[in-house]
Amino acid sequence: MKCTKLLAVLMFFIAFVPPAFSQEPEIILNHEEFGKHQRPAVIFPHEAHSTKIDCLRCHHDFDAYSNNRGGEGQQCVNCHDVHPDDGSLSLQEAFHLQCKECHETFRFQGKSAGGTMCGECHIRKK
Amino acid sequence: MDKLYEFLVGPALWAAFTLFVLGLVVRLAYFCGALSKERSGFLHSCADLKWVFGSIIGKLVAIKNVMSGSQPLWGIILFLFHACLLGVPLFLLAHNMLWEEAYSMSLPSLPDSVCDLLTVVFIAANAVLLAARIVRTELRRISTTWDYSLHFLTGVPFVAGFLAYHQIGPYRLILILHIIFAEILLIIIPFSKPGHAIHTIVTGKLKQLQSSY
Repeated sequence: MKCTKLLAVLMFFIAFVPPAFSQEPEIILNHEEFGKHQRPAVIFPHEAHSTKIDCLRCHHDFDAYSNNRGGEGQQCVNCHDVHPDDGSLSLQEAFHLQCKECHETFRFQGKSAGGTMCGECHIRKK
Repeated sequence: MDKLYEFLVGPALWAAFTLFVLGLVVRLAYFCGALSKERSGFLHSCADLKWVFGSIIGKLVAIKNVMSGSQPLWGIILFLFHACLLGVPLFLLAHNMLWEEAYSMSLPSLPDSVCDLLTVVFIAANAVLLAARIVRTELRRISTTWDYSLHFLTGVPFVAGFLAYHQIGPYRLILILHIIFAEILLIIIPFSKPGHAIHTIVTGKLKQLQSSY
């Protein structure tokens, strides 16, 4: 009986705990905040990025002295508005700068990286 | 291809813009020289900058005047050709995004669907004008190889842009061709049709003056 209970608890952990901590392999960036999207939504390979670069690079949170205190778990949209009033980076600028600058740097160094041209990220369904 | 792309949207674009602006300045200098009092008192008396710019804007905006001409359909096609040639690149969202990212300033943008439609209109207008140049005897007689080349040179950036937007064919290659031909077009613009436009404006004004005497 005791053995069965132990097995049930073990099964529960095996079944539910890893998915709870696992990361989505791909995230579709189809934020409603943008309204109707002009270009196809970007399918962001989150897992591929999380294995290559530091999480804090994207999930950042800068203090007044530009120190990155880290904002793990936060999404871009939590801080970057679509139309910010205070002159800060808009959500679209945040996406474009974050993705393109990194990709451009990697490609310039001759390393493989994601897209730098519009249609390499905003891919139309065939 | 990455290096080529970086070069095309960096130094090559700057070079193209510089040549474009310098070319326009040189062209304008020649134009002003031709209008100088010493060389042509009559031209100088009838052309003023206010009128010139008024005429350009009037020709672009006033479709009503174009339609009231002797060949309204021809006028509409010419108007659409020129309006799309200027309007689509200037007010395209993707272009303005790049301006915004690079220099934190840009022009207002048209929706992509509108620009897509205007691109098709431009390509169609270009094709009709080219066909007319070949078919109509009076046009064929005054057409040179350079005139035919201009149809090709204005058409390629739009066709490549259309294909790139719809992601038809090899995307990277098409986008690079789009940029190369657009930069070539920027460089040759001051040395081709604006001269013809200035000529039209001045002669148009002369005709207007002659008819008033």
